[in-house]
Amino acid sequence: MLDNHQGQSAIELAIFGSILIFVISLIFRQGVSGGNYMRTQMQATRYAMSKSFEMAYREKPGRNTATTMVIEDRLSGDFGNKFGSRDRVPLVVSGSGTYSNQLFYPTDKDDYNDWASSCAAGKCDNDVLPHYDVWINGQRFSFLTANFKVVDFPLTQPAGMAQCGSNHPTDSRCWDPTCANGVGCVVLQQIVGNFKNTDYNPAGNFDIHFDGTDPVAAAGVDKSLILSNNGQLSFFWQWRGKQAVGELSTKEGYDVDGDFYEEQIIFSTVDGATGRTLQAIVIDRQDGDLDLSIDGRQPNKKVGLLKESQLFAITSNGTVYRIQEGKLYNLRNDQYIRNTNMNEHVDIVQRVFQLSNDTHRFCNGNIPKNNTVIPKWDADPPDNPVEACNNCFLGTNAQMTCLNTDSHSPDYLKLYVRSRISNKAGRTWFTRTEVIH
Amino acid sequence: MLTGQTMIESTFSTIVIVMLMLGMVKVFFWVGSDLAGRRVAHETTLISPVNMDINDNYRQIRPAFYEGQPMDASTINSEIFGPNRLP
Repeated sequence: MLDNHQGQSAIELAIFGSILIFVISLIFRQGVSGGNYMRTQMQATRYAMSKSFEMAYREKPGRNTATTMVIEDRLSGDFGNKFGSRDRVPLVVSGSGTYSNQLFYPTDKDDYNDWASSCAAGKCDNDVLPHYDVWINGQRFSFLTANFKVVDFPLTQPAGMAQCGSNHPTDSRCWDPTCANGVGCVVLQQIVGNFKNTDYNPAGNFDIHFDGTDPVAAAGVDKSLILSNNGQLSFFWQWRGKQAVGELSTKEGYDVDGDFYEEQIIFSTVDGATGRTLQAIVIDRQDGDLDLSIDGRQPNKKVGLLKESQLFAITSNGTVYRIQEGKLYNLRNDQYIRNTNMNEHVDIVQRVFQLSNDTHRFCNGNIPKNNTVIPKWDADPPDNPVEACNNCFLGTNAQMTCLNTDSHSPDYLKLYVRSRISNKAGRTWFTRTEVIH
Repeated sequence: MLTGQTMIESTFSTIVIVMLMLGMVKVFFWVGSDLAGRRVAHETTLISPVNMDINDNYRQIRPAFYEGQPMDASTINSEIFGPNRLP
């Protein structure tokens, strides 16, 4: 209590009123942020659901389960800056949706044939392949997470393929000269959980790295005994060999290309004379724009959104904030007084997305593919947002969304997504006045 | 102490406090109605009955299903004093 009691109420009001205003602004700021986050989250989920529905309606299995990631840099409430908010808060949300109508109709031989026909016509219809849709500040990137692959199997032992049981650490496939009545064939591998009875595998069920040493077989003891006692404790999984003879089962996955990852078999063809498998058409999850299967088998590899992110601001003639005051018009008796306070700059937010393979869907060499003339449903990718290719830090490319297609660069297949966001927030007041004569 | 000093200060403070409280009510109302309105619109459209028609189905799950609540920050446009709005 002040000694003379003068201004007591006013001082209390000033102190507690400012605290109250601060609290109100905090609530408001949280409300804006919460609203933005909820809106983006629901949009991501609904976008995924709508894409799954649309693709199912068109009987395209690529997005039976659609996944979407939305990234937006939105201005946050800033009550301490009289020039308006400048801070951008990144919102990163993901959504997924499954329309179950076509769930049990996965990609099959007919889909592959349609895809091959469309590619032969010059424009691949990739909607039969799984996608990952990413929206970054309004730019849509439709990444493939798998691709079709045609693998031909040799009918004689090729020079680069080792015999089963020897050292072949870079290729899981090996040559078994005893199969198909002694003419020989390729042995494919698949990963199975550990169990007591091991199936046929001339390469060694527990030769994890295919260096020619099966630690279980090398023990010189009955396999079943080791597995039942100690072996099962030491190994969580094992390789199961499959001779490339006859049609490969579409219900199982085999590593047909030797990269230590299994592929999904679509169909296969057989050599009529010897019964050996001639060719397999598979969906390879390591051949899409994004290889989301990266794990310890591919050490130090990265994929997807990288941590690096930068924000640049470009202003008009060095002006960040524009203030205009004074007389605007003077027509006869009418005068308008204006007072304009507004931001006038462009924020460039750069995000980096690491791709795994150059599928030539975004760039054709150094030239970005421009699909704006192709109807949205048919374009691949629809409305290609990549504006420049190869040298992404060239002066003319510095503010464009760019894919580094230089295979000799350490930044090979880095997609620099540059969002140019104009900030012209502000206010303009016009006050009409009349001159009294 | 001047005569009526306390009365004048209290009256002034009361008026300011009432304005602050009105602002607080507006903020509370807007924050709650914006979040709840979006959630209600989301749930309502998702479970609304549809015919087996692509446009009708798409209406349920369209991404742009909701417009944010207007703040109506100025009291003259707000509904605090009733539904009468300026044209």
